[in-house]
Amino acid sequence: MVALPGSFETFHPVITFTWFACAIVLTVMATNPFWTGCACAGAAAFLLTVRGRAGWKLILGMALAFIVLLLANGLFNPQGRTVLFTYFGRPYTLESVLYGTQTAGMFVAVMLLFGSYDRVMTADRFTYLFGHAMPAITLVLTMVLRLVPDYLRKAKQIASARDGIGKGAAESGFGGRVRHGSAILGALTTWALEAGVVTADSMRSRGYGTRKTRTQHARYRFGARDVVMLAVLIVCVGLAFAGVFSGASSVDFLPRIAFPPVTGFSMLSFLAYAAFMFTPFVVDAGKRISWRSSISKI
Amino acid sequence: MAQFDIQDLTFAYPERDQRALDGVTLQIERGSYVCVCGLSGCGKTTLLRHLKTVLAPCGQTTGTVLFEGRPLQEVPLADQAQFIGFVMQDPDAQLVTDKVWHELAFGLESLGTDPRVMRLRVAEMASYFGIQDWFHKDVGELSGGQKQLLNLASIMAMQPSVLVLDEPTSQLDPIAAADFLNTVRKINVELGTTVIITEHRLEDVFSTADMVVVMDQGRAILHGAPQKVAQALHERQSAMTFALPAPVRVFYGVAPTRSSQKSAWEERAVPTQDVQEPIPLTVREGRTWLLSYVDAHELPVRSLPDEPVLDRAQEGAGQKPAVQLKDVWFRYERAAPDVLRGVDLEVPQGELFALLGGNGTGKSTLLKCLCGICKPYRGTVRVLGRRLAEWKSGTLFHGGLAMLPQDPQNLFVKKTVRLDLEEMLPDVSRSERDVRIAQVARLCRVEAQLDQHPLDLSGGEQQRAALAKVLLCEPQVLLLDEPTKGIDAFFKRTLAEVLQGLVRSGVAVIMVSHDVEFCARYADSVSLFFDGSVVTTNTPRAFFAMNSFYTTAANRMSRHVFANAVTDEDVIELCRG
Repeated sequence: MVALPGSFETFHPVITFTWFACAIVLTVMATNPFWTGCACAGAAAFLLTVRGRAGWKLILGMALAFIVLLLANGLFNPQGRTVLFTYFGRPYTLESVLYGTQTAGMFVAVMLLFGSYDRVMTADRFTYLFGHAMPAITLVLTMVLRLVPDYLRKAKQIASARDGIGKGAAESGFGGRVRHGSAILGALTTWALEAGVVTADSMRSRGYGTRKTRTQHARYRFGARDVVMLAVLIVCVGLAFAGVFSGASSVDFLPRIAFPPVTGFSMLSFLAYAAFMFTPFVVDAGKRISWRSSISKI
Repeated sequence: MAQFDIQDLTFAYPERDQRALDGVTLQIERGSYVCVCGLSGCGKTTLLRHLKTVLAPCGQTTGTVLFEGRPLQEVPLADQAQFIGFVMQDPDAQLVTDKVWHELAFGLESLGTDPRVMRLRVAEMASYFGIQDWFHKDVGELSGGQKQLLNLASIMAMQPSVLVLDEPTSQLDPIAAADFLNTVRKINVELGTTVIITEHRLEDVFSTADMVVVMDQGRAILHGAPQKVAQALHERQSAMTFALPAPVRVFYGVAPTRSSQKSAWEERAVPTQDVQEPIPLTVREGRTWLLSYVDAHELPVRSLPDEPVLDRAQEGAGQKPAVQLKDVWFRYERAAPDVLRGVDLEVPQGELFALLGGNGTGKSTLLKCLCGICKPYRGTVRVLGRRLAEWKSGTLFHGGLAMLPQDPQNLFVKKTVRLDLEEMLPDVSRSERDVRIAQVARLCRVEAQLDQHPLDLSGGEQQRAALAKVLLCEPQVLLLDEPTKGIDAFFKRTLAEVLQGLVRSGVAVIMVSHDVEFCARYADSVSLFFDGSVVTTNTPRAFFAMNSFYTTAANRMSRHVFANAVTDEDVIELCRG
């Protein structure tokens, strides 16, 4: 799927990475069901705009995990005042289930964020960000990203070559299959070593390691809209963190449920957090609408 | 001052007695186009690798290499990285990163180029090479030809003054290869970059080179202008003459009678200017030369006798065909387009059959359908009269059919060639196994290589060792996917002899190929594959004489004079009258 022009994933990597990093940290730090519910909703909405229909699969899976986790917490954690029932002499408490709901919600929100993370923060955007700080590691990362599909392709070729001389996996039983697999693995290893020598030659031939400082090809420009977006994010994140540290996002579940007092400031920080979590979705949805109307004009 | 001044360069690999380079002395001028040629293992690659310090092999070296007047070792490595560009054979393994744009920038990043300059250079190179369209792609998505162009572009981004290319097109199909070599030529002409290239596809580079260097057993035995080298090679009766472009071979094939006639003319006081006439290197020059030759000699016969028309229905009446396909349809995925669209094909036993066609037309897929790797969704495939499903599991590949894949390396899984061959005979007694391995090694001429590691062999040797392994299936139908890819002219002849031996013993050899010259010379029948089906089947002579573009150099050079000359020998025979 081609990124829609102007959508959240087309912002500078600094912006997108900051958003993901702050979103995950804030979600993990907040223990307030309202905050966590907001995180789940924002992450799910963004996932659906990024992945389209394929996003539902992850959301449904996570819904299942959510139910299992919240019920399981009651089994493992006997604390809490309101006992629903007892089994084998152990209490199963309401508070424990609610606490499970909270942690499960946090888990689901983070998983949903990761669901859109690898789509938005592609490897080249990540390496662009960290290439300055750790050039060697990022280079290794890009090489690994290339090698994995390469190995798979070669393994397929070797397997199909062996099929063509009657040495394929289908020709024999379990022992044959093991021999078949190890033969492919052996050939693959030899090939990888040979190819590795060529790659190393190619790198040295192109000056790798001849200069102390490696520079980086600058593919992204930090434009005006990135500045505006960064300002918005800083304000929201600042307010949200202030809320987290002042305790507005903390709820005690055990031994009994205690919400923090609702103040003007706690409401403000919650709204800032909600705005922050929904920013990518709002950007994408807005762009989608304006793009659709501009296409209808074309 | 020469760009490269190689003085008495001698080199031996460790633990080998034979010298890989033996007293090579050469001057390579700035902006020239130098082609280094020679049989496999003559030391071409070793010589080229000495032109860049980081690539120079380990071993004993004497003599010097001067780069722009300075000994190469004294030139800083960063300068060498920038000014001496090196493109290697394998399009894949040379790529370092996962994205096209990153690959273009890799060298500049290593050299610490300012990001603003880098942006410009990368943009410039992407535009010059026409890479904009795939700039953001993963390198894994590119074709072999695109990968090799990317390798070239990412080196050109560093603005080198010399470009060294070590068999850059050996893994490419002819169309991608021609495209690549044209780009190299364009760089040489438009940017003035010195080009030093080794190639076994001499047809494309021999005529464009300013200087040709011929290597033999580590020595640079000849160097000079292409025409002089061609003449010298012919005088020495060198094995390298097989690799020369078709017009040159025809010219010299006709020459012996010319020289005998020459003496007769001298008696009649006919001027003997034509001895000095330039040797034709390209098809265009060949056409001009041939026309004047035919006019001068008033040749009576202008075409070879017609061969009997190929009639499969009649000739195959007695015996069952080796392979028979009826209305075969295949696609890789439910939603993907059809790759095979109603293929009808019949190949009799004891015939070398060649299937020609462009890239991605489905030729290799057809072979996979034949050996059951791909299952057609409609139509029938019969091998030796039996449907594929009727062959019990395992029996098809014992005495039935076997396939040599495009990359022979994919077949090697053991430490030595002998062990690899033994893998094919698991249930056979030791003595019988040795006998059969000796037999097949003799047939494929890999006796000397039996105890070497398969990946240490040259391209041609690997091909034959893989063929030996395939032949241990004792196939009645042998499938070959691009068997001449990456093999030099000399090894092609050896391969052809092996294949002809098999055909004589009744094996049906079905090969998929791009190699027009090879098919014209050695195939018994040829088909053109296009748009998922077989368009036409004929004898090579009738097939190629009908085509105007998809045909041999000899045919293109002679079609205005002779009706159906397809190979060099045909043209020579008609010229002699």
